[in-house]
Amino acid sequence: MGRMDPRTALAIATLFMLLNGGILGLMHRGLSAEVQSAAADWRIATLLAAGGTVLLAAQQADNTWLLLPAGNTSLQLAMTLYWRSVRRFDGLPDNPWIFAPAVVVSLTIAWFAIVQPVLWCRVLAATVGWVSALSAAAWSLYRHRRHPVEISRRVLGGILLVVVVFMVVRGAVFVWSQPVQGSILDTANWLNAITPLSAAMLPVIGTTAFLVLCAERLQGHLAQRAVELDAKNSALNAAIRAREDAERIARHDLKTPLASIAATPALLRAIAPPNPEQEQLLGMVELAANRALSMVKLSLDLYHMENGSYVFQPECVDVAGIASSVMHDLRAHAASKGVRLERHPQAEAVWVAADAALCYCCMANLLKNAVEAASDGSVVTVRMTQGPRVRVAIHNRGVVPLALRERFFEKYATQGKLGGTGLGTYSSHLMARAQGGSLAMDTSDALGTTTVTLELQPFHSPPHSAVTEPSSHARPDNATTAAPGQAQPLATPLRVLIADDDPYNRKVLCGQLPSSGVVVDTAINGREAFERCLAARPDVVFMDLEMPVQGGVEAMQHIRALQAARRQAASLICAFSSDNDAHNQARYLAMGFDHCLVKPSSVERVAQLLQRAAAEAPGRGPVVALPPKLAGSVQVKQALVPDVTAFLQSRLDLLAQLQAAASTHDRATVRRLAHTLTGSLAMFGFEGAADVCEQLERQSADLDPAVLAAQLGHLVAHLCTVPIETLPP
Amino acid sequence: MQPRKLLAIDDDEMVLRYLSRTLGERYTLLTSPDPHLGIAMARNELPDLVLCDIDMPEMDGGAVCAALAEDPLTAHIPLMYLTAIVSPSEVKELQGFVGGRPGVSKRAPLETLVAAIERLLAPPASA
Repeated sequence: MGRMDPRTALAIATLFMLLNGGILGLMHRGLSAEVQSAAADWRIATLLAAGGTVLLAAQQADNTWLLLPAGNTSLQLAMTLYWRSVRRFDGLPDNPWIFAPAVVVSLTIAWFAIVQPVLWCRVLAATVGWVSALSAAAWSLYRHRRHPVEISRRVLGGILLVVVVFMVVRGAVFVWSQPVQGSILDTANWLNAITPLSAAMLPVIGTTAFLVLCAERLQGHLAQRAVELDAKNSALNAAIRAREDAERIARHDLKTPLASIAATPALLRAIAPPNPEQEQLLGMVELAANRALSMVKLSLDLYHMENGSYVFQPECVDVAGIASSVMHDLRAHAASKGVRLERHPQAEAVWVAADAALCYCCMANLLKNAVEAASDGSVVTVRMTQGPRVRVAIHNRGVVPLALRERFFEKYATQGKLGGTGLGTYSSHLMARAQGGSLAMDTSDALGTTTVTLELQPFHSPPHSAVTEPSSHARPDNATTAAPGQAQPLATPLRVLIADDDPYNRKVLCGQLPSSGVVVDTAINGREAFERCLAARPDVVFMDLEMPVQGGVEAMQHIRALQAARRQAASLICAFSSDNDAHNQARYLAMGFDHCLVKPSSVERVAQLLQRAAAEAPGRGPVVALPPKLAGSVQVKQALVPDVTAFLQSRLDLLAQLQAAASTHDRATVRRLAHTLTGSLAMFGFEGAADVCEQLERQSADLDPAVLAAQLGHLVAHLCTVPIETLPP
Repeated sequence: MQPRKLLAIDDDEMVLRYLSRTLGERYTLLTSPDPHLGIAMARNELPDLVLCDIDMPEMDGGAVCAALAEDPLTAHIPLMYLTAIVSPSEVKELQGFVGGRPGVSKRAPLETLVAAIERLLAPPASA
């Protein structure tokens, strides 16, 4: 195979370089602004490399003195610009000193080309110049690599190093063979043919790698933006959830003070009979507080309906009666625009399985809308038909605007009504569905009328009483009812403990207790309630759930354990809270409360509860004796005496956590907490308790929940009651 | 002679309080309920001995031991496990070693703990 003529090789290489420089120039505008200056350097370097190669190729015997130094200078500058391009790509500031080696090398080459022509000295100088610039560029690429490392960065660095290695080998061969003078192109050395091709390797392949590097950077930015956007989205969602939670909690917190206000008039009446004027004011307070309470309750119910957690407890409700009372409430508004309200058929009760409060609210929304939409002087009719479903059709003159028809029951859908929120029909729709019913709207442009139809489930066995009041989930099934204020006197005085952090609530509840036959004690939090139980066993405990220092659930558990340990009859402990959520109440009962009483309570309900307590003979709870390990006293080192109270409290907290973990079958946490308890209890001298905890830890994997609960009860009782003796130092 | 410096690492504050009350007169006692903080304290304070719990939720005793051994600053500090994983009799059977390190059961009497500390603090007998 014949050797390629160095001039042909140069021509091919130059063509490639020019093409590459041109392509990069065309693509320049498509690159991101961040890498444009680096790309500009790369393009100029490629063109300079091409120019330098052309100059070297054009050498003749008479112009070598000019073209040789000029071509080499051009190549040296090109290599330095590649270096600067790589630096600019990584955002490094420009440093003019990086051109110094190129200048020195170019002058040296000129010296050995013009003044004292020595070929190997020129080759050596050129090699040093190339190697220094390209190695520096490769090092810069390596130093500023990012995570994840761009693949094209590695490829580009590799290409730079390949050129460096080639130049070193080439230089070494020339220096070793020591040709004295003349052009590289004149020598017969085999390296000559591939020198220009290898010189072209960097501008040709390197440019491709550089472009891919730019693309990878852009992709990296896009990926980062996507991640940022995701993070913003989830933050936004979290904020929305947090706001909804905050609103729900605020509504929930409103219930307690409202309940207290609603209960106050009854207490005032009990103190002294009011005169007619006072009675009217008291009635207004009662009415307003109860209305506010029912609004809060409704908004909480709507929240549960929206997220699907509402539990529908159907009652027997006379929907005709409800329609009448809504019409009665609306009559003033209707009269103001000459609208007449009619109900058909007139005097007949229509029984449905529904929730009375929801039914009332739903009907009030729909009728109010109908009155507002009805044309002046027209008639709004409510027609009820019975069948497999009870249909309540509310009919008025006037049509629903075209734009609103499709979205009539959607949230915030409203039109043409100043101050309309679009929540009335939406919530009515929710309420109808929550009661197993449906709501539909039909508007006719031809007749100019609108009919909204509410369908509900009929109640099949008519009740004996009239419309039932929304019942409390807490009402005992077998309770006997007593007239207000006439609780039957209790045979033996009952000890009642009221634990509530709100002084107003304590006072209201005290006021609802019978004036004789009870001994009342109060506590401001769970800890104090437990202390009261330590002092004397109450028959009934009204326990608020959310209290500072120690909540009601924890206090109840401690009291249960205490009474079990002392072989006392278990007190009747009633969860007393404004939470009327059925799920939560079931949870409280499962936790160990005997009963749930919703605030505001009434004299009758409190009386029922006290009668139940009185009826249940003492000793109803199983009395459990403490195991021998936990009997007897504990000896504590004198140095530890100041810490014993804090220690016991912290261990009771750990036991409560253990109990919570056990209730969720979190075996790992049970094991870890039992382990923590073992070591610390032993250190403080509670050896028996440490033994029990060690046993718990070892058996945590397959411990019967009942056994675990019993042992936890023993431990709590032990820590609360064990006599503590001080060991002399 | 200055009292020797002990660093105790245990996630249970009450254990640390116990150690402060019972060993505080005899030694200068540093405590940390957080293993990460404990390692940093060991680097800064260079105690004569580290007492470390094994079963901790964030970082177990083995990891603390490895972190101290990896750092040339703290590699020389003797470490002793103080744990409820083993009973005093089990420690005896293991000849005073737990997981390859000197160890004392949390259920052992104080005297046993002090004796073990003193053994580790005593300079190795030169032959």
